[in-house]
Amino acid sequence: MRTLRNWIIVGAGCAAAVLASFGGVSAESIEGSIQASQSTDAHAESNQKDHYWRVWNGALPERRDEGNHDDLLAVLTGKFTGPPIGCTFRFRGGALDPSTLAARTGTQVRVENRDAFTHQLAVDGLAGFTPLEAGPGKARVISVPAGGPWELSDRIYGHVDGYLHSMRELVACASVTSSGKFRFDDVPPGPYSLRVLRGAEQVAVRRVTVPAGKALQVDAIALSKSGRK
Amino acid sequence: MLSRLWYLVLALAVGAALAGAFLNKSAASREAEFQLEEQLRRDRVEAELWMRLDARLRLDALASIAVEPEVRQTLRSSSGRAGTPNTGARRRLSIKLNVLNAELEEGRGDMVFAVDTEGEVVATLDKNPPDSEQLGKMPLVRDALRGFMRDDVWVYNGEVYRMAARPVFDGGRYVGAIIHGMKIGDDLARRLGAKLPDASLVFFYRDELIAAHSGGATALTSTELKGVLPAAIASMTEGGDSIEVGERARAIVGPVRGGAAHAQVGYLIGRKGSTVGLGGLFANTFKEDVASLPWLVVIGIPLLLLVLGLALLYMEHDKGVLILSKSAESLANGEQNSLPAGELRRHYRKIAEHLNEALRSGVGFKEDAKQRASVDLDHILNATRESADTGYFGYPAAEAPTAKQVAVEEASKDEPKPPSQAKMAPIGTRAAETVETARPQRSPSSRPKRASSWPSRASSTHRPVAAAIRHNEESMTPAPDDPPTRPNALLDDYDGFDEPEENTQVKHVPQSLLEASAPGVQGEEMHFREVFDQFVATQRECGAPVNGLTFEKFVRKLHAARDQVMKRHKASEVRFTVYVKEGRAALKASPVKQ
Repeated sequence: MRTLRNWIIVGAGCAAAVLASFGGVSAESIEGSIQASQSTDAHAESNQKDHYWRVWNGALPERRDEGNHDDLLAVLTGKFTGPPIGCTFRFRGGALDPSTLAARTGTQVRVENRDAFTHQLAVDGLAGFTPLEAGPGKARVISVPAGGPWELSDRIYGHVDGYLHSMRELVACASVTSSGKFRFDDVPPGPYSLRVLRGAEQVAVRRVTVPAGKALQVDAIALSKSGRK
Repeated sequence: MLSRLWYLVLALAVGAALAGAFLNKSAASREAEFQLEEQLRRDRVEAELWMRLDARLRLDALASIAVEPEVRQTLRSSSGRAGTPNTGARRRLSIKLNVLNAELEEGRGDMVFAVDTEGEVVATLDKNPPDSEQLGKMPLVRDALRGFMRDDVWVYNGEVYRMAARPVFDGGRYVGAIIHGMKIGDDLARRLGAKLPDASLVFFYRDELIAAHSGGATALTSTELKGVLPAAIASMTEGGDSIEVGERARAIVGPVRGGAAHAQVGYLIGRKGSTVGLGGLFANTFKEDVASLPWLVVIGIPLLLLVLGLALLYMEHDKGVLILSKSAESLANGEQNSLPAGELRRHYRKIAEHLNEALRSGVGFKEDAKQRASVDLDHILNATRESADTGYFGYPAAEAPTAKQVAVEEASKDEPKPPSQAKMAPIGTRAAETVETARPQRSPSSRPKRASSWPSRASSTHRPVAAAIRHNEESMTPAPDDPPTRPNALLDDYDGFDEPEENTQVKHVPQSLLEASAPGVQGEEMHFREVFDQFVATQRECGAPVNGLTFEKFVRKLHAARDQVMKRHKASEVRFTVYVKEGRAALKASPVKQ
């Protein structure tokens, strides 16, 4: 088994060398970030010393933490026939990470359980998908037809939610960190559309061209509040 | 009538009591079922409150961990941009957590986590496998990291835990949280069950029991509760009404509040209801209930009704029976000759009146009537014989003297013997003796056939009674076997006069007979004439001689017989009929009452 793996790695390396020598396709990276939202008032409020006291007593609403981008997913779409890059998803910390999923139409998406909680993933409206328990270390595979997006839920933990998008020209996926940064690795050079998904919506889109031989740095992307761009 | 009404009242009272008992039973059953459901609802509320209180106590207990300096410093160093602490610091914190958790005693957790502000697990108990490095997305942890204390339920590594989380505050900001979990097991069920006397309790995770506690030997078992688990889970989603476990047993379901409620984690409380039968109506009666009964009413009214009923019964029945009994006894003793109908009421009066009427009319049993008829006949015959010595009525006895012989004997006396002397003699024996002594010895050839025809007549008890008056010794007809016992019949054979020279001679004709033949009774005389004519004609038809039989003689005998029959039967009239018996004419006397 180990020998076969070594042979595969060697073969892949040889193929890359051949492609590079003939000036063909190379794998590059794309880095970018999400522009932070303007919420000065909230910051001002949250910086007050009595913030928690005011929240506990109802003077301030309970809000999500600033910089939480668990529900964001950055994807590249374009002309690429290879398997989607980086489109693997998981349960981590008690919920989907990220909670927005994307898969190429007609393929399968794999959701791994990386925490100690037992989850039972359900995809509302997706025919043929049966909710089954997936304990720690297990995974569920979802066949993704055309259509969507579909809402995801957990039959055990009600706080778990998410959305699954079916994209015909999906090339790569990248999660957004709590600081708002994302990174695509091993992306072939070429023109792509950089899209940011939040829940059932697409909140940002930008056309990018990945040059050969160097990484692409994308300017900060401003997210629309709602609506598909 | 009143006593019958009393029976009706009694029946209605019994019916009402039974109906009340059954209605009370039904009402008690419904009430018991309602009480059982209410008790189960109270149990569920009790369980909810207890678990909340228990969570609150655990949160309070977590304060001893959250304020620990080593915990705060380690989490501070791990939170934010300070980076993850080194392995040694995390190891020391884990040891500290073990110590602090052990100090919680009853509230010590089965798993304890110390997480930084990013939700990363910095330290945990030794026994907890480091399966999870990140818990920040769990609502419990997220809220704790934002400063809230809360509790929850987790399904962690396949087991169900009751969770509690408390933030760790250091240097004016939150640096992490302490996550505390207690596994739901039999110990928890036992502690909760202690708050619910006589109730059985199970915790379940979907269709699996994860903890159980039985309320006692008579309480529901965990197996019985597991049998209704699917229905309980369905009920939990529909509102949580109680469900029937078995006969007079119900259970109520409740979810364990928290994030894992969607995983169908809950508890089931079961109870058995009290038995409610006709006997069970008093099963839950206490001494205080008995003591509070209005005994004066409970006992006094039935006693009063009893006395009233007995009084009515005595007035209407017992009194009449008593009077009738005493009167009948007096009647039997001859102390009175009738029943006191005037002292009686209603049907007892009618009975007395009917009996009095029967007594006046001389009605008796049929057997007695037969016996009396024979006696009457004897009297008649005796009277006839005593008065006339000869006649047409009576029973021939082999030893009986002929009328002529009697007449000759009495004619030879200076004074005739009073008829009462003959009557005073015992009927039968005396007549026989009289006849025996008066009759001359006859040659056996004179009555060869008759003597042989009734060989048992000599020993018959009836034979002496029959005092046949014969006109001719040779024509004396033996009496049939039953002549005197025929009811309402005066029966005799007329033997005819086969020897004219031995015509019957009447020595003495009573004055009564002469009076009876007075012109005032011409209608009767016509009847006698008809009877005589029929008798003579019948005799002739039978080939029997009628020589010497005159109407005057015949009438005298009829008069005598008539008087006796009228006296005996209190009849106003006597009718004679002629019939043929054993080849000869015979007469039958029938009393006619008005």
